[in-house]
Amino acid sequence: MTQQDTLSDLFRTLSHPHRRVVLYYLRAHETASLDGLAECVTGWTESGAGTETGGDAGGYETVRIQLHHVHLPMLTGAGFVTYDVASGDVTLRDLPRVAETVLSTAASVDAGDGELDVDALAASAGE
Amino acid sequence: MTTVRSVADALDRIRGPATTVTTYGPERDEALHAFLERFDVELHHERLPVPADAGYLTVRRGGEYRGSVPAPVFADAVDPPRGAPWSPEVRESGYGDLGTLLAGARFTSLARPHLLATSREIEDRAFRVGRGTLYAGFQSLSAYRAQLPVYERLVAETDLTVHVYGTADWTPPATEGVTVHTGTSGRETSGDGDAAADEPGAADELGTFWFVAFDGGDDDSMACALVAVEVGDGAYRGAWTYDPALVREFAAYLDATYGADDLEQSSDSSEQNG
Repeated sequence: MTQQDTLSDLFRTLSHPHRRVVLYYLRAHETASLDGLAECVTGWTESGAGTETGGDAGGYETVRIQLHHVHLPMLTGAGFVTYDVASGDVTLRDLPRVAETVLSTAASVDAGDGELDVDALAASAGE
Repeated sequence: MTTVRSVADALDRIRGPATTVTTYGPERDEALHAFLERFDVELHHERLPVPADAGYLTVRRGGEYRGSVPAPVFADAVDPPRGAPWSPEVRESGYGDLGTLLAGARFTSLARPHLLATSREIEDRAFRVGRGTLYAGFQSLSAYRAQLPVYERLVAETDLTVHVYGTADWTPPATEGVTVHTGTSGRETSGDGDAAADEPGAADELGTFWFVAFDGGDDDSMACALVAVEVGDGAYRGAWTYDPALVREFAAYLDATYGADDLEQSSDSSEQNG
């Protein structure tokens, strides 16, 4: 896989706000339950800053189902988390440094508190 | 549902499922947590690496997700607006959003400004619906005095029927559409203070409880009630509810115990049963 493919995979993994919020939460807490993540993501989407569109989480149950069927498997596939389907436990794994950089920048943008720092991203991606 | 037997009984029946509140943000908002700790809720804080303004809280009742409130609204919860029910600051405040989510959860010690803000939410619902019956217990009628302009406007601009309750330490002026009950028999607003109570304890409960209830008019989804009892130092314990069946029972109790017609105080003494 080329560097470019790696970068494409990374951005694909981080392209959905639900997956980014899951990672923001896990970076602060290491582990979480599926229910806890669904509550965090639903609240963020409904009420968090940076959701001036009014937020359309589709409701808690929808978010929970999407996390279970789509987002957590994708984050697992990228090697970012482990997801124990039976217990619902989600655990953060070591993130690639470029992912850390992208998430730190994206967090402030998602929270409505910053502009995308393209230079920092480019510098990180070029390492 | 069996019949509500007293104001205390009505309060006793406001009993929602266990409520959990989780706040998300860079750090605990101590003022908000101090406010929420006055409720019988399980309270958590989950750290999120976002600016304080991007925080929020979520509420679960009986394990079910019920909704969220954004952090910019927290200040309204801690220090609610004090305007008239129809004022923009009350209408636009997030206090009501949080209040809706906390319905059914008992509070152990709320100060008057919060009870007043909750009362305003109920009065504003009544104002917006514009018909139906609003019940307001002020403990003592002197407390009604400061609210008189609000209630005069409520009845002047709507088809609401209003019942006001309190011990007779002040004689309010007659206001069409507002019936005043002091819990004594006979002429309820005579103010002579000597009339024997119909039921022993009836006047006592009026002096003891702060309550506001709106039957929703013909819209059950607008029915709501607050019932609180002073526990000292201007602090109250109580709860509020949006359960239309319970509100109906409470209204029926008040009507049956203190009278439903508005003969006493209305300058227009024609029959006007709601």
